[in-house]
Amino acid sequence: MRSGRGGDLAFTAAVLMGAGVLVALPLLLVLGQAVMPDLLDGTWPHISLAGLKQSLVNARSLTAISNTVELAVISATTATMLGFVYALMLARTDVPARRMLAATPWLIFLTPGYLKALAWVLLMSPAGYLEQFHLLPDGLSDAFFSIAGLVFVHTLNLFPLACFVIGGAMSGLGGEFEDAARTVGAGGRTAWWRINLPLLAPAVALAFLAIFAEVASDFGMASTIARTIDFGLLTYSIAVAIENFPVDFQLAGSEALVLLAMLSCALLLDRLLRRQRRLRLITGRSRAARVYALGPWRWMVGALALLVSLLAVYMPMAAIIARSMARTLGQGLVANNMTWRYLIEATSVGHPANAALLRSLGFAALTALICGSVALLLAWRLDQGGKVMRNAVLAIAVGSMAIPGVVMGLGYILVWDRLPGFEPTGLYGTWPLLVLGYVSSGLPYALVVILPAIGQISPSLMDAARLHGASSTTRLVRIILPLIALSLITAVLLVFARTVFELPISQLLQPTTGAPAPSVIVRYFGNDNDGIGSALSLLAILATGGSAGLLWLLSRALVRRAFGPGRAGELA
Amino acid sequence: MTAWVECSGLAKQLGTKQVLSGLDLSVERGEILSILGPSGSGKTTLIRLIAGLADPDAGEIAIAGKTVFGPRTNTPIERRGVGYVFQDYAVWPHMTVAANVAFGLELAGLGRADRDIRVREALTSVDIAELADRFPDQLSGGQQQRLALARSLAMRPEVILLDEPLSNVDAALREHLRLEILQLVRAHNTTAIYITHDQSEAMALCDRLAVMQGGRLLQAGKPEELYRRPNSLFVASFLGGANVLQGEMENGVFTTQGLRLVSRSAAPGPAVDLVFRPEDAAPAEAHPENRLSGAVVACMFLGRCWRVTLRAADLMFQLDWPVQVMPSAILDFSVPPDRCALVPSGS
Repeated sequence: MRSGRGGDLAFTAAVLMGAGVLVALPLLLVLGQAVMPDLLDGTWPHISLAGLKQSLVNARSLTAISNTVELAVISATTATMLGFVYALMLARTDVPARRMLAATPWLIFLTPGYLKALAWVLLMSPAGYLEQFHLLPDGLSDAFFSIAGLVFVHTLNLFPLACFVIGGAMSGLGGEFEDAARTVGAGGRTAWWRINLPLLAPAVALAFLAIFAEVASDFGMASTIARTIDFGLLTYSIAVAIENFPVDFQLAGSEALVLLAMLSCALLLDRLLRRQRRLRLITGRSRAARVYALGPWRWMVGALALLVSLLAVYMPMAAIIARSMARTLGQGLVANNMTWRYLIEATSVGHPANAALLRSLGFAALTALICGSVALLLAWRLDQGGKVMRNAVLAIAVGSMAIPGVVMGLGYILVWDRLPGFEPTGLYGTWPLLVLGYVSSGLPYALVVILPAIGQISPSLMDAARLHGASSTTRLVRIILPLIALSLITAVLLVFARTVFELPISQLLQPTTGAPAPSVIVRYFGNDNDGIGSALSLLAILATGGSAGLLWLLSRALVRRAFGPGRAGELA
Repeated sequence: MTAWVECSGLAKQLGTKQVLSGLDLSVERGEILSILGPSGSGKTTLIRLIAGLADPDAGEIAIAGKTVFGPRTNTPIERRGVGYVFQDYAVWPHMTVAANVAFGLELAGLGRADRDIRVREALTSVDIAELADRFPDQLSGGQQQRLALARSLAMRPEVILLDEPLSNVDAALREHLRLEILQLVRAHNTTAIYITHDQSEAMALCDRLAVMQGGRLLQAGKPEELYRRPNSLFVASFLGGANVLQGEMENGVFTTQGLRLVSRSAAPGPAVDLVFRPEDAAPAEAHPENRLSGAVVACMFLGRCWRVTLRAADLMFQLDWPVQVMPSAILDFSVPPDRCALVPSGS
């Protein structure tokens, strides 16, 4: 690559253009639309809050706003509490089967939320699996199909986030602050109350905010369980405003504005918390804290943790497997109700379910390859340049991760269907636009994995290669690539798996030539075709999990064989 | 009277590693004991057991005449009356400097007024009284270290345990702080156990020195005694540079490769190593009975002397010499018999 001022300028311009088209423009149009109703009408736009006010003061929007806040606050509270207890159990007790219990949060984190929500419907509905096994106390089914059920599923789905954040803080905190308190006379309880809890408080608050933002921007639960019980939420309301006829962009834009305002508040609080100077002394280098012996409670605590894993992962997965092999839900798990029909249909070429699956796998593979290459080139070029640009790109990446998929989808519709200059490209309604949407939502994740990996490579390694006469491209291929190979592959597979199950963008940017798997799955469940819906979900999970897992293991083995078992390829 | 801090038969296993085995140690009241050992020798584990931060697998610990750990006793940390200064200070980042010191006093039930006096006293004694309202992240490493010390001393503990408190301080400050800690602990008349892996720090800071290796206490005594009369090769070489000769005793004279050296110390057995320090080398005529001669290999200027490396009878020696000697010159020197220590071979 050419260096020098000209090259730098061209590169900066390209990055800004990319970020502009992929993120900034769609977002600006969504926001602009809310306050300038005639923004895309071809006339000179004028600012008017009347439209915003009118759209937001209707009963449906107000309910959606209050429902979203209520659900997000309650779920964030319960999930943070569960995450705290779970992290404490893993970090500080001698609970049995720790390895398995420690894997649970990751399993939950890696399985898409809306599939688990759909599975819970199978489990909890009046004729569902729990009822069939007489495991469902009277009235619990009704309770599930209310805000309580939404809180329940969100809590099980999002407590891992709190577990990661708080668990990380606990291990960074170590045991010395507590030990120091003990030596000056504090009992165990006092040490927790006066030392550990105040020091962990920021992490707890960060976890709460992250979960709040996740729930508020969630589309999966909103368009499944919440929709069936008519519990209006902002994200779903935005999608409805676009999908219904006549399309109400004004309403969608106004609701998106409110949603973004909520998320910005959470993000702002998050930034403020992270600036807490006093916490800098927590170095993470300190000695690990002492483990409490639970004594006779050991097995009890282990059983409770196992119950959480069961409820959060294993039972929903079992329900999907069972339903994909049963003729009907109500007739239960008996021999004459078993059928291979749905699984056969979903694997038959030409069947709509199979077509959707193949389409999604293809789109996801393409998206992952694009994201991996772009992120690699970007990260490599950024690493050579100044810190400012690098931080700016990281900020854009992290910021755009916070934008809900449904808002991005809306923005893409506004850009490619309505914005003069873009609309004539004819991209709207085609699969390349869907892939572009996927790329914009996947690229930040790839960057977040690859940027730190490249950042870890010592500059002297590059200088040494340069002194030995390696050109810029040679350095990329012969030095950087081997060193970050595994991070790169991890990033590509992460984007692939995310994309196969990405719901809101799939829903809003469906190509006219055929819908991708996520929207087809949700549609099947919505139309009471949950048998084929479950079969499709199961196959999607197997295909994605299987291929991603296999590829990862294979590439790790290859990287190790090629570069030795040391740290090569594993800077992450 | 028994010792102020008494450990007997302490054993501790961490994972599959036996970190301490059958360790006995006693510290007198008001004494400063340094424990010196390489990393992994079990010294930190030892003081963690004394503090109650971990429990021994076997053995007994008594502090100030009271058994705090034994077959039927396990006094919780907070009631053992020990102070502990951690390697990375562990000053609480969410409390001001004054609050860090006041916390323990408050738990001990001191009233506000008494507390304020004691806090003031403690901070003044370590010279950070003017920083009372700051938070720890506004302090330098040295100041945090002083705060940690003040926090412990303010509790007037029966014994204060210091876990490599200077290892995170830069070299320039280390010497200064070392002296300060010594004076403070002496001024408070506190019994102290000081852990370090730095031999000069260990020798400078204590009344008595104990050397640990592989979970065992090798030797304990006055620093000079350990330096002059080590009981093992490990103690000899860990306490500073030493020339080590492997040989055997013949009629009370140490012999190796045709060289014969007389030693005043008693031979611990037939197979022995002889140890002497570079600075003990003397002119040839000073000790005619221990006269040696060799070819100079290298000569380096150390400031107060020249460090000469020479070869005699296929053995390499290091000597501190007052004048420069040219390489390949032949140098005659002698070693004082009372500076030749005999230790069991290969110990």
